[in-house]
Formats: sequence, C-alpha cells, structure tokens
Amino acid sequence: MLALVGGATVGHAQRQNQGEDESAALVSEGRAAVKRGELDTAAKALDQAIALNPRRIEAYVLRSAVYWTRKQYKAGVQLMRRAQALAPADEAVLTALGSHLVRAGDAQAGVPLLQQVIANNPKRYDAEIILGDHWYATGKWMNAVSAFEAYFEHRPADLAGEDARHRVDLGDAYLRAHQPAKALAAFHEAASAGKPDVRTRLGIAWATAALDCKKARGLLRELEPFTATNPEIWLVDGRCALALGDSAAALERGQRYLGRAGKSAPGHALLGEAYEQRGNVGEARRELESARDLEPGRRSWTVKLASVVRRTGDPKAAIRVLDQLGAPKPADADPEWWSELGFALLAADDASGAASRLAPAVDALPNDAVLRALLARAQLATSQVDAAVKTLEPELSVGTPRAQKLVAGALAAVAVAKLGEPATAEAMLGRAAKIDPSPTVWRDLGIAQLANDHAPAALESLERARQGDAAPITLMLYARARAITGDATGARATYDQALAGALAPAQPRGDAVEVAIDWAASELAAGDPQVAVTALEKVAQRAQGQGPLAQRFRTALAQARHAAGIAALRAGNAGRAVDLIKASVASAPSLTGQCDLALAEVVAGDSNAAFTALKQIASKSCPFPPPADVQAVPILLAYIDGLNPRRAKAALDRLTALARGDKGNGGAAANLREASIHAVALEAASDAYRNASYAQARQYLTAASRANVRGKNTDEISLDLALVDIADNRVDAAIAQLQRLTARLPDAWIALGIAYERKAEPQKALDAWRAARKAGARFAPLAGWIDAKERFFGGAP
Amino acid sequence: MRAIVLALAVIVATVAAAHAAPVTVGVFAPSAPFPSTAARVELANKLGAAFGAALHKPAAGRVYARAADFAGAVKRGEVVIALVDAAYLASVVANHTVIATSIVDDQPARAWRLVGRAGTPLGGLRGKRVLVPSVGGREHDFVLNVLLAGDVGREYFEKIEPAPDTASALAALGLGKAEAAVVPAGGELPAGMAELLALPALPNPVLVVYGALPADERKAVAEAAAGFKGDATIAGFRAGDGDAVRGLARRFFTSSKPGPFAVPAAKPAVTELAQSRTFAIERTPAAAFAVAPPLGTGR
Repeated sequence: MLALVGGATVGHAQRQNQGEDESAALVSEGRAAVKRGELDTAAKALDQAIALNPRRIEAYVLRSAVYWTRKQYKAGVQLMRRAQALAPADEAVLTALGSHLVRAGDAQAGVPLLQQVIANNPKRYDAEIILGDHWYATGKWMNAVSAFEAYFEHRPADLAGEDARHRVDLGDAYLRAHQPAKALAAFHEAASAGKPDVRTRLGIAWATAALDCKKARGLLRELEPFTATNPEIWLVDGRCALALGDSAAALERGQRYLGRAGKSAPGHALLGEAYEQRGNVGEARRELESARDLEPGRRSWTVKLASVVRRTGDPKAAIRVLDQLGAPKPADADPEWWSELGFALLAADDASGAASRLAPAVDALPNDAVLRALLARAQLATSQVDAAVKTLEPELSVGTPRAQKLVAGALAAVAVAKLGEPATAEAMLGRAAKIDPSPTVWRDLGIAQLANDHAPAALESLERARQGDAAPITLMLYARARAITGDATGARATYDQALAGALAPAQPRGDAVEVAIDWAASELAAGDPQVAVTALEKVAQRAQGQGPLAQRFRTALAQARHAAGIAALRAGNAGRAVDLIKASVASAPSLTGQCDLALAEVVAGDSNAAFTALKQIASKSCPFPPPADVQAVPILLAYIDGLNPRRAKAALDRLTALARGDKGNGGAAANLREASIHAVALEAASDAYRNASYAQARQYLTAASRANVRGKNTDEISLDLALVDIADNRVDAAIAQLQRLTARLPDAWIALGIAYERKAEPQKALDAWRAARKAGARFAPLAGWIDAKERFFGGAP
Repeated sequence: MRAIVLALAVIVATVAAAHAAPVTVGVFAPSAPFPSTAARVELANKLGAAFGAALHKPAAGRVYARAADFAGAVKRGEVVIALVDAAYLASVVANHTVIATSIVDDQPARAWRLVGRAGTPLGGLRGKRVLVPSVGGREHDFVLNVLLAGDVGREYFEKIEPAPDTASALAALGLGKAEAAVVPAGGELPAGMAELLALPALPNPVLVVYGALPADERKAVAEAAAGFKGDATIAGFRAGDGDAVRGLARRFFTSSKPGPFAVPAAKPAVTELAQSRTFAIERTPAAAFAVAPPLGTGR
C-alpha cells in the first residue's frame, strides 16, 4: 500500500498545473488519512475529491491504495479503469491498475501493464514487486528472481523494513532456479535483519543442502522441532542422507515424512531411491510408481522410475514407462527424460533406435554433454563412427562426475573405433583424458600415440596408465614405448615386471605370450636376440597349442633363435649357433634357416653335419648376396670335402673350376671360394707334410699362397715351405728363407734349428732353438730338443 | 750273440677242424718286455689256440728270434698271422694288414729310453757302442732317425748293434758288453744302470695278417683278437692302428725333426654371407590392446 501511496505522490507532483481547487484539499486530507491508516476517512475524502474533480488522477491512485489495503482488488480495477481512460499512459495509473488486476486474478491483463511500466521506467520498484510476487506464485523462478533483484535495486529506503520477506522469496526463487549459492546469500541477508523466522531458517537449510549435504544435515537436525508443521525437513534430510550414501537414514526419514505428510510423491520418490541404493529394486520400483501415480505430471518421478526399471534388467519396460510419459515439449524441457531414454534403448540393444531418437534431442539441447555422449555411443554401436566423431566434436561442458565419466567414456570408445586414423583417435583420447583421466583412457591414449608414432607422448600416457593400473598388458605397452624411445634398459626391466605379472596363475593364458613376444620384438630390434630367446622360452609352456597365438609364438621363437644363432656365429660361437639355428628350423622350417644352419655347421667344424646340412640345400638358391646365392653351397661342399686329405685335391680342382666362371668382381662368393681354397690347401699341405709327402705339401702350399684371401698368412706359408725344403734336403734355401722370417715368426727359429741340425751343425741348431724359446715360441717338443742337444753336445747354460 | 730258434707247436684241433690246413701264428717281438723266453713261448701258444679256434683250423704258435727267420717264414707263406714289433714292421716292405695293437700296461704304446751307467753324461756316449732290440737290420735308422730324430749325427756313436730282445740288450749292458742300450721303458734295469734320456713313445707290437687272408677269416681273427686274454706282458689287443705303423715307417727315412708346420686358422668367413640378415618379430599392433570403456549404468 505504501508503494501505491508513494506512486500517487509522484503522480500528484507531475500534475501541479491542474490548479488548486477543493478537490486538492480533499486529496491532501485523504493522503494524510491513508498514512494514518484511517481508511474510511481517506476513502470519504478521496471519493469527494474525485466527485468534485473527476480529472484529478492522484485522487484515483490514492483511492486505489485504500482498495488495495482492504484487498478490494476488483473495486480497485474498476476505479483505475476510469483513471486509465483519463490518463492512459500515466505510470502510476498503469501500475495501480496492473497491480489490482494481478491481485484480482486477472494476471493476463495486469502483467502486461506492469511490464509496460517497467519497460518505460525500470525504476518502478512498485511494479517490480508485484511482478516478483506474481512470478514467484506462479513458479516462474527466473522471472521472479529478475523482478525481485530489480525491486531491491530501486526501492526507496523507507521500504527497507519489508526487505526480509521479499529476500526470503528471492532466496526461494534462487533455490528453485538452481542457484543455491545466491539463495543461501539471500536467506542469510534476510536472517541478518533480525531473529530469523522458520521460513528463513528452512531456506538456509535447503540452500545449504543443495550445496553441501554434510553441512546441511547439522542445520536440519536443529530444525527437528519444526517438523510437525514442516515435515519436508525430513524429506530434505532424507535426500541429503541419500546423497551421502546413508540409505538407511534416507529410508527412515522418508518413512517419517510419509507418516506425517500422508501420500506424497516426493516422499515415495525418496523411499524409492533409498531402496534402490540398498539394492532392493522391487521396493524401489513400487515406491517410484506410487510417486508417479500421485504426481503423474511431475516428469522427474517417471524418469526416476524408468531408471530403476532399467536397472532391474528390463530396459524395454523402462522404455515403455518413458514413452507413456511422452517426450517433453518442448524437447529441451526435460533433458533427463532423453538421457534415460538413451540409456534404456542402449541397454535394450536398440542402438539404432537410440541414434534416431536422440539425434533431434541433441539438436534441441546442443550443450547437453550426457546426451551427446549417449548419441555417440548409439552411433558407434550402429557403425556410424564418423557421425559419432562429429557428435562429440563440440567442446562439452561436463559438470558432474557422472557426465564426466559418460563423456570421457564415449570419447574413448569412439576413439578406439577410430584407431585406424590415429591422429583423430589421439585427439579424442586427449580430450577424454582431460575430462576423466582414468587408467583405461590413459592406456588407450598411449596406444593411439604409439600408433601415431608419437612415442615420447605415449611414454607419458602409459606411465600414467601404469600408475593407475599395473596390468601386465599396460606394463608391456609402457615397456614398448620405452624401447621405442631408446630406453632399452628401462624397457627390459618393465618387460620383466610385465612378464612376471602375466605369469601369475590368475592372468589370462595369452597375456604372458603376448608380453614375451613383444619383449622379444624389442630385444631383437635393439640387437640382443639372446634375451629375446630367453624371454620367449619362459612362456613356452603357455604357448602350447595350435591357435593363432601359439603359431605366432613359434614364429617369434624361431626368428629369435635364428637371430641369436647368427649373433653367436658372428661372435665365434659356432656350436651355440648350430644349436640355436637348428632349433629355429625345427620349429619353423625356412630356406633361410637351413642355409644359415649349413653356414654354422661349416664353422663349427663338424664335417659330417656340415655336409648333411649343405646337401639339404644343394639344389636351392640360398638368400645370400648373388652370386653366392647359387655358388656358396657348392663352394662349401667342396671345402668340407677338401678337409679330408684324401679328397683335398679333387676339392681344390672343383673350387678352381668354380673360379673359372667368376667374372672377377669379387664379392662374397669369390671371397668364400678363395678362402676355401686357402683353407683346404693349408690343411692338405699339413697332412702331406706329416705323411712325408713333401712334393704334395709344396703343391698345396703353393695353391694356398695363390689364393686371393684378405689377411693371408704369407709368413706362415713361407715357414711351411721352408720346412718342406728342409725335409726335401734343400736346407740352404730353407735357411735363407727362415732367417728372413725369424724377426716376425718365433717358430722360424725352430725350423732354422732343424735346418742346422740337418747340416750337422748342432751348436747352431741349439742356438736357434734357444732363440726360439727366448722369442716366446710355443712348441711342445722344443724344451726336450734343447735339453737333448745340450746334453749330447754340452753347453748347457 | 748266437741266435736261438725256439719252436714249439701246439696242435689245437677240434673234430670239425681236423682236416683243415694248419695255421702258424708267428711271434717276432724282440722289444716286448717278456720276462723270459718261456713266457714268450707261452703267449705264442695262447695266440695259436685263440686264432685256431676262431678260424676252425689247427693252429700253432711259433716264436722267431731272428728277423731273417721270421721274414723267410712269411715269404714262404708259413706264417699268415703274427705278433710283430711295430718298429720291425715299419722298417720292412711286406704285404700285411694291421689287425690290432697289443696292450701293455693298459697302453697301446710305450716310451723308449736310452739306458747307460748311472751318472754318465750323454756327451760321454760319443763314440760308444749302443745295443737295441733287433728291428731286422735297420737299427741305425731306428735309433738315430726314429728315436733321436736327428739329435745326433750318424757318426756320433761308434756302433749301434741289434740284441735278440730287450732282456738280452739289458743283460749285455749289465755285463759291460756295451755302454748304452735303447729299450722300451719299464721293467728293472741291471745294477748300476739308469735312464740317461727319455725317448718318444712307439706303438706296442701289433697283430698282423700277411697275404690275402679271406675277409671272413680276417674278421674272425679281429674278433678273436678283441676277446683275447694274454698274459702279464701282453694283456690283449685293441683294434687297428695301421696309421701309427705307417707314421713310424716314415720316420725311418729322415733324420729331420718334424717342424712346427703352421696351419693358420683359415676357415672361410661364411658369416659374410649372412651379414645383411635382419630379423624382426611382428608385434601385435598396439591398437589391438585398446579397450573401449563400457557405457556403465549412468549412475
């Protein structure tokens, strides 16, 4: 009423030019009476003023205030209609008329008038408060919030006494508009005006509950004395108990609430959710059905019911529940209905239905991250991978942990399907990791990065995955990233850890085999095939069988053994090389393996085994550098054959014949052939010398010296020729040659001594042998020779 | 020293072999360290019995003291199986096949030694007389080439003379009939005598067959030799070792020591052929390990 009186005051001030007449005096009298609360006096004076001067607008406005105070809104409307006819644009008239219309139940006519006033003059707090009350009463919370906020901005100071009531309304509006922090501030402000009433305390408790249930439950306990008149205190406390996981308390509060409040949809809903939390889906379903039946128009009860029905394992029934309620109109009015529908359709394996029904909802709710996640899942399940990627393209705001999990899961799931395009997958998984950094997402991101050749980034991602979940396969991928980034030592340690974990009894049988194969691949790439063999052999038992993994294991082990065999061969351990390559060929026969086995057998020196191995590949072309691919085997066969002194000559003839076809361009084949000639000739010469076939020994030595071999032992061959000369009685020639060799070959001194002995010069022989001993010659009989010579001829040192 | 021929024949006959031609198993092994002639004869008899049984023929063992007698018997075809000193066998040309090597003191060969008066320096033997168990005439080559391998020249000793056997050589040495003797190691030396120089090992006496003995009979002889149980001197036989005899034969012909004939490690470098070999194990693509997070219940 004060506002109307104030408005009338302003109206009067704007019309000073109407002249002073009797009615003016009556208006003044009426205003004073209104202020004193003498409504009858005021009414009489103002009615007379209007009668005397029906054009005096302020009299109408003041008279309407009397009607307002007496709640005679319809009379007020009639009066102000007359005033409106006289001053259709007058703010005070319109405000008063609008206010009366609203209170008289004709908001449809009143609200536009008030809105018109505010549009012209936003400072019309009297219009704002009427609108605020109206919006609050009709549940238009955001409109109410705006109106109340405007009112508080412009209301005159002398109205501050009424603030508390309006601030509680504002707080309530905030709360219902999902702005609990502002609500709490408004309630606290209202409370600060004096001793807070119950409504204010309830408001504080409700707002706190929306922000922090733990804190709220303390406040709610303090409100226990008021539950007789405000049983919703139990309801809110029950909700908070539910949010805090105390379903027993929630159940108890819900039952108390229902006991006091009688049939109540929110009460049954609370019980339903409490039962659901306790796993009693049957009771949950019954309670939520009650809530829905009590308030069929309250969509949230039906949506919750559908959610529970879905969780009972009957998603089709859930869909029916939702469809009975119907899609919200407009579509953006109930996001929860859509998301529950998405869950239910996906749970019912109707991904196609989910995709088609959710797509329009996403158009209506483009920023709803949960809906997008569900649509993407549906698209993914119907092989619309690119569409799913597009659905998840926008940056999504995900506030709740539930939404975070859903969105990150959808991003990761779509990315996994998109790993064929690792760049796309990596980007999506990067987003997923930012939203919900779970070990699975980190692992998938690491995988995408590996596939995208971003090994250093993969290393970081897989390190995080490993920290969260040290599963053997995760460790294996981490080890792979370490190996690829050059950390061979670290990779080996991690692989070892992964394999130990994978060999644990509870692990899937294939994990250990996968880890071992991966480890072996890394070791092979790093050039340590023996470790690869060891790793694979550790899981041999688990790799038994005929499946694809067992086959891959056999191939890997064969490769590793073959590689280790070649490494052993290069390191001079031919026996080990034979064992490894033989095992490799036995498990995975290959021409390359057979050819390399033959090489190893040749180097190992087992002529029979070498011969057998070479014969097996005699008609094949080995993967050696041409022309060794066709020449190596015949050369090596001749070489092996030639190691038997009786067949040395024939072997040398064959080797020489092979040389005739050589175009003289060197290469591995020529090197092999010449080395074979050299080796066979030397062995044959040695045998001939032992058998006193000196002419033959000389021939062989000549052949050995002619062979075009790198690092040929020219001095040794010269020594051998000198020994043959001695045996052939060409002693002087031998002495001349040996004297040249003594500087480089200590053994030449020994031969020189033999030569002198043949010349019956025992002292020179003795001197030469002593020189040999001094030069470090290693020849077993030498000490005995010196001893005998010294004893037969004297001169022992 | 006068050569004595001792011959004993022991007829070993079975009913089945009574009509077959008799076989003579000759023994010419002067170096074998039999303690007595009787022991030598007894072994010959054992050999005759063993090989007669193996061939199903009457057989006799016969000891020959002189190389010429033995060679004559072989030439006449009287002896087709014989136990012969390896050194003798190596020094003569004959159509023979080595069947087995005898085992003395568990070994198929034994070292030799130069024996003389204890304390005699080797240089003190220059121009002296040396005895050696007979090798059929080539005792010089045997001592100087085979055993001393040219350590001394051919004129170093005054004489190198054959003795009928090892025991005779040592007995003569003990009696002062020579200044040194070259004999197989083992056994007691006459008083005042000592080993002056250790000499290389040579094969023990070998079992040979002469001429064209049929293959089945040669096989039967070899099998009998493998199972033969001899005496304290020659315990039995080990198959083969014609190579050792051939090697010994070569040493008769040269005074040169075998030199340090170099056989450099000259195996062909086959690893060059596999130089470009590369190996790789196919990993499971990382993508195969990706796991799409489940949808969950929406809670």
